[in-house]
Amino acid sequence: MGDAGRQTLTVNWMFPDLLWLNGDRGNLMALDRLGSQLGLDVVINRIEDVSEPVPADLAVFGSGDLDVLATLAEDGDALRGFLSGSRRIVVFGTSVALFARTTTRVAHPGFAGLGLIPATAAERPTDGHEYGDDYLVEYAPGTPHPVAAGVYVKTVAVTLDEGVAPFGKVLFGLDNTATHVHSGFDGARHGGVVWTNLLGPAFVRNPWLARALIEEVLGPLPVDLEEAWDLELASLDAVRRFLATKR
Amino acid sequence: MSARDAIAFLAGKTVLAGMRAFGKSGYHIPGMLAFRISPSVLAYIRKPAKTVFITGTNGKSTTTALVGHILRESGLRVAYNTESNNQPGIIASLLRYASIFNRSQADFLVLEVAEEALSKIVPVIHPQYLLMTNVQKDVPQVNQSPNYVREKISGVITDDMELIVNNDDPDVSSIGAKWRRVHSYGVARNPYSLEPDTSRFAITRPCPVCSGKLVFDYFNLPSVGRFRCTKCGFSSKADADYTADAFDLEAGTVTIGGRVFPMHYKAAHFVYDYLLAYAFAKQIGIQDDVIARAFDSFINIQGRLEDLRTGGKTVHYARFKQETPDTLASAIENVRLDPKPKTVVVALDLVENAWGPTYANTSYGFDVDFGRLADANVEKFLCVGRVVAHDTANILRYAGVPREKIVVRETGDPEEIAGLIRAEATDDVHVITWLHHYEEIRKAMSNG
Repeated sequence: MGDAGRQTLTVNWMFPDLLWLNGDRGNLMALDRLGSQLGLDVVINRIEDVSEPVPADLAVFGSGDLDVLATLAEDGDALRGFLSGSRRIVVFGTSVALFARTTTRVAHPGFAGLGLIPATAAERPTDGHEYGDDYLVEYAPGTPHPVAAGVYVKTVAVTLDEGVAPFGKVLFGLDNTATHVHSGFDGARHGGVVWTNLLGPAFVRNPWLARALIEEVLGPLPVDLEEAWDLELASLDAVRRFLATKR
Repeated sequence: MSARDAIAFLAGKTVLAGMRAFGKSGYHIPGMLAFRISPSVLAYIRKPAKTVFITGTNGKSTTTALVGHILRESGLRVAYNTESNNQPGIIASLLRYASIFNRSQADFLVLEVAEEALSKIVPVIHPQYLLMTNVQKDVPQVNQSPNYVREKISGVITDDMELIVNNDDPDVSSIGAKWRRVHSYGVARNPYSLEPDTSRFAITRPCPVCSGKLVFDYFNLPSVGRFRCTKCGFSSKADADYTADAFDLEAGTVTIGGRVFPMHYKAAHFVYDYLLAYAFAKQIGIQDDVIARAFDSFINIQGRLEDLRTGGKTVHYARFKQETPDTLASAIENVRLDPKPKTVVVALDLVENAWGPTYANTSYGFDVDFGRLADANVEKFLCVGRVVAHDTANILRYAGVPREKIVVRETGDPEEIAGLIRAEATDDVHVITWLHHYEEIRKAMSNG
């Protein structure tokens, strides 16, 4: 609990200077902003060293280059130990390679990940492939904000083990395996790990998604933020109109 | 080499001659035609005895133009590509400087080569010199990270090439560290240098050698400055082989090796382009006086800045490249240099390129600090563009710009945007967008 009975949201920003590819710091700015709007005290810890535990509600991994992820995976035991103190681990984009069982690469040695997402990842060849496009994912059907919008840059194709739940259903864009267009599944949810290919940054463009994850760990927070989300909702509307012309 | 190559060559030369006779532009058309007839025609065309390639994310075009200009000023005959840095563009350049009998009429070939084109071009045209500007985040649909760009450049280097590398750019500097025939260039700390951002959400970047954390003592440009790795110790050299000791954007000068040279293009990023061109010129024995004359007479058609006086307003254009945050950060710094009350039009727009689908990516807006404009006497931010205008406004809001200063218009129509600019109360309007959109807006402003 923070001051005057306010709840505290503790976020570990994992390797902020290394996992930097797609404006990912915006996700932490979004959590900070949203947390304040929800009446929370937000503590953001910048984590570079995982040798000492730092418990957190959320541990957030931005999207990173495969060379960087391979290096981080070398300290897998320490990282797994550190993450055991996080209630939810949120992973964006290519950083899934750190969490998969293995990642194979095109022109570099493959590497073993933490295995916290039962899946295999394969780097996609760098010629003739569509790497990036708009992305629309239905992650919470039946709720007031069932859809999240953003973009993806699909450097790796991921195959989830049987029985591993996806994060959401792809409405527009490539699926996890990079073989289905505008269908299939995005991301994964396994244990406390939530992975999505959504970039944008995802939490900036979809504060309702960030809220849903915060409420998973802190419980419901009765604050109406629809008016505060004017720009984000207008953006979602504009993107949906645009995607209707792209199909 | 085949008869098909010869036919492609002659067809290209014929079209080029016809276009010249009728005064037509479309420089790249003969190259595209020749390439279409025979994709191997590049190997067929005779090249000048010496070749220099300029590659990197930004600054290639200006540096190529500067190098070509210096060489011509020194009396050499120079073939170089003024447009398109892919194969058809390079073919077009060579056609211009080859006789009908396929003899080269140039002493030096100066080519701007995009990083992704290097692996196709170098096997056909092997440069003696490879000049590297910088490696930055750029077009994630193709270059998922700067590491991919760095590898595209590294993959073509051979022992016989002479490299000139940017000492202040970590990726380029790391490329140079692996080779023997390397010269470096860099810019000393100066009044325009920026201290590292220590705010709560500031980040640096990973080391290109060990993936550890890189820190900067200061920045001369976004991601360019005096750096060191906190893990492996990789760092910029204390002294580069060629150093710009100082520069003065007001006076339009740059000081290299103790001598003051004219630099008529007044933005910090040009200093590196001028310095790289200088370093190459010195390496091939061109004297300072010749270089100074060339700098003084240089006209940059590839520039990123322009002022347009129209309808009682001064419209300042600061170009940035799509999805290249470092150029967006440079554009922001250029706006900051203007102390007058102003409106800033931020037109990020849909991303369009030749390598992937048009899409609504503005994530790179979080790789820059629009908060740098918070104290830049900006009265209003006008966010325009197709689809993404609201995202742009949101980026500004996150950067601390008060919501009441932000106006959003979801439009990419140049006439409409020109109308919005004309309706502004301030005399000075800065437009941050990419070249293609700016040209449309400029045309609409001139028509109004």
